[in-house]
Amino acid sequence: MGTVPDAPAQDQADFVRAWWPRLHRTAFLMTGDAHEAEDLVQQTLVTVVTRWGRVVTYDHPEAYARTVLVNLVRSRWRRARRYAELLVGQRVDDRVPDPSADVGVSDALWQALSTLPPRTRAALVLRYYEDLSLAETAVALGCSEGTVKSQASRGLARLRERLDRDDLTLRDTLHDPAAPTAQHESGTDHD
Amino acid sequence: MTDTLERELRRALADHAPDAPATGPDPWQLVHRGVVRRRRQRTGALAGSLALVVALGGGLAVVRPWAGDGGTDVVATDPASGWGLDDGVPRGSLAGDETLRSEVEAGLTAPPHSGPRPVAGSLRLVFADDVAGTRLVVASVRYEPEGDLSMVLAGPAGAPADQLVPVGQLDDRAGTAPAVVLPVTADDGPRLLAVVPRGAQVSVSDAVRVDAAGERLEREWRPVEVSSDGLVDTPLTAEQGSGVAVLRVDSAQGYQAEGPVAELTAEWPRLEAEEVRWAEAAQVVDRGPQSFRDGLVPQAVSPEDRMPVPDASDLLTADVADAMRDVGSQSSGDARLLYASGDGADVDRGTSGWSSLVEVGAGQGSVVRWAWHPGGASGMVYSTVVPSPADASSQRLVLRVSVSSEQQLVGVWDPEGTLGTVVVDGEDLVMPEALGFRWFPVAAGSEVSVDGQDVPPVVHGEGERPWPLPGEETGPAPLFSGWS
Repeated sequence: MGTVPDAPAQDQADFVRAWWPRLHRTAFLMTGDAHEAEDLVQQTLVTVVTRWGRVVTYDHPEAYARTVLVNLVRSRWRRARRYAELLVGQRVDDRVPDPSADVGVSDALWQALSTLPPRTRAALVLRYYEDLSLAETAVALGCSEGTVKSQASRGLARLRERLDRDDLTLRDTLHDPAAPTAQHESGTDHD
Repeated sequence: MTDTLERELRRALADHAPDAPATGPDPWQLVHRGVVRRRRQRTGALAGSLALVVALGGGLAVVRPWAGDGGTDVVATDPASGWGLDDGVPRGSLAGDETLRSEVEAGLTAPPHSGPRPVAGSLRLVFADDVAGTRLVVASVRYEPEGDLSMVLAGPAGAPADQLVPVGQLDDRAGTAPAVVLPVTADDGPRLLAVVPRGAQVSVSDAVRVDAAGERLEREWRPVEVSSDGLVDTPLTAEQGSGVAVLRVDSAQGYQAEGPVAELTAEWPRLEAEEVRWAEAAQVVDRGPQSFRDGLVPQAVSPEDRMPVPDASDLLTADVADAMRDVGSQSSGDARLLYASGDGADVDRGTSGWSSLVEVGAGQGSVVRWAWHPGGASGMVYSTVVPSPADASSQRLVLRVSVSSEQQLVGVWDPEGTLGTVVVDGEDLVMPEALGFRWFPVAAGSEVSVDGQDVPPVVHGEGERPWPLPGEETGPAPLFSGWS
């Protein structure tokens, strides 16, 4: 019953311990739910470990793990979202933030992120948190680079709309010496 | 300005990314536990003529924690609320065989098992019998701290415990599963074995068929005999490649469950865990207002809990599973299970309520049917999962369902926001942001189009009608092209 992994169990354990935190952060940024993120990461790494004989031959096993995670997030999202929205009688993205709350740009963007379609949100997380290239993001999402570009562009546009709606102004780098300098130019490949 | 937004987005993501906790469970222990559980699901060396086990309604739910006293006393597993096939009374001619029970339990701790060990004495035989040349055992066992698990073992008739192979595991207790299904090859050909709740009525549809014109899809159902122990033993008659056989369980508790049996092929397939998960994704559907259950037992709904539906647009739909889409897998096709459940009240009380049959097709699309219970099936519609023109991997779904002779519903699922305009009787429908599934009630005779493509009307009670969306090939769709 079951198969004996080709690689020593210690390699698997090391991989799991090394990548769990990173995958968990990514899963959380994609879902906004810590418990769900933990469950998704567990499922992801179970898949990776059960296929260890094959995964260990990959140049980047962590990229495979990330792709598995993204697919699980999307599958989970589709089910949970429809169920939730129909139970509560409203769409999740219909939530209106409290206009009286003093929300900074960071929090506003985080809230706006939660209203994006799953693939759009995933594209932004992979591009701007994981710092993946267009090609790497396309692999993780299982789509073309063109789709990644359009998803990211659409996502940024909606985030901007949200900031405008909330009357929030982005920091002006010319006048904010504390603001970090841009490391990447928009729309360009990281590689 | 985009640079600034991107920078702020990076900052926001970094701000909200959780820090790793200083203390907590070792991730490897969490993962290893899951690995052990998944490996038990995989078919090992199959004994005799065994093929696979499909557990309906088992789902992927996390096992329920055991609300026990700390584990100092050995307590047998508890049957669930009685909704599923475990009602606390062992069934089958071997269910009282203590030797079998103890040896099955001992087998869970013998090498090569290296994972968690069950609580000693906690294993119960839910069902055990020799049927159609097969020894079939369904057992519930308790683990600490995970709780009760249910597993299915099988082997040749008369086999001792050490020759029984775990062929499936229910992630939840057997009491929450509406059926355990096992197709086997007996001396007289392929047969379907199933263990269902006592008092359930069962019917089987062997295959889906396309009519001579290649336009309509048909499924015929035949009732099958269920023993007093809740055992089904019936021949499977479908021809090879004729699609997925489906089992339907009408339980005495008032819910209906339907799920696919593995496709019949010349050689009985040994399914990988992912394929078993696909088969497990058939959902339990009850007729009450809380009608969707994601693999969990339906809650007991009293007549007072049920609420009438003001109109048929309050429908629950959910993407049941997308299990065949597996990263890096060799799975063929693009199977998807969909179902819809009406948010209705007790049918027997004369109010609306309906459940659904889920069918899966590989390749071009999937078929979804709705049936109005108890009788008078509604119009059924064939739906196509359509690749987005912009991206073949993005999919959309448009359905048209006949609820009554006067009312129909158009359902749209467009998670990526690629669909354009839905027009009903010449007027544009206001499309909300394409998130989730939306239903639009329309009159039976309404003219409906999506992105300029007419959505043909469904004639109430006439069955499924194939309808491709733009970009799809016309004619019979290769729905069931077989699994690789």
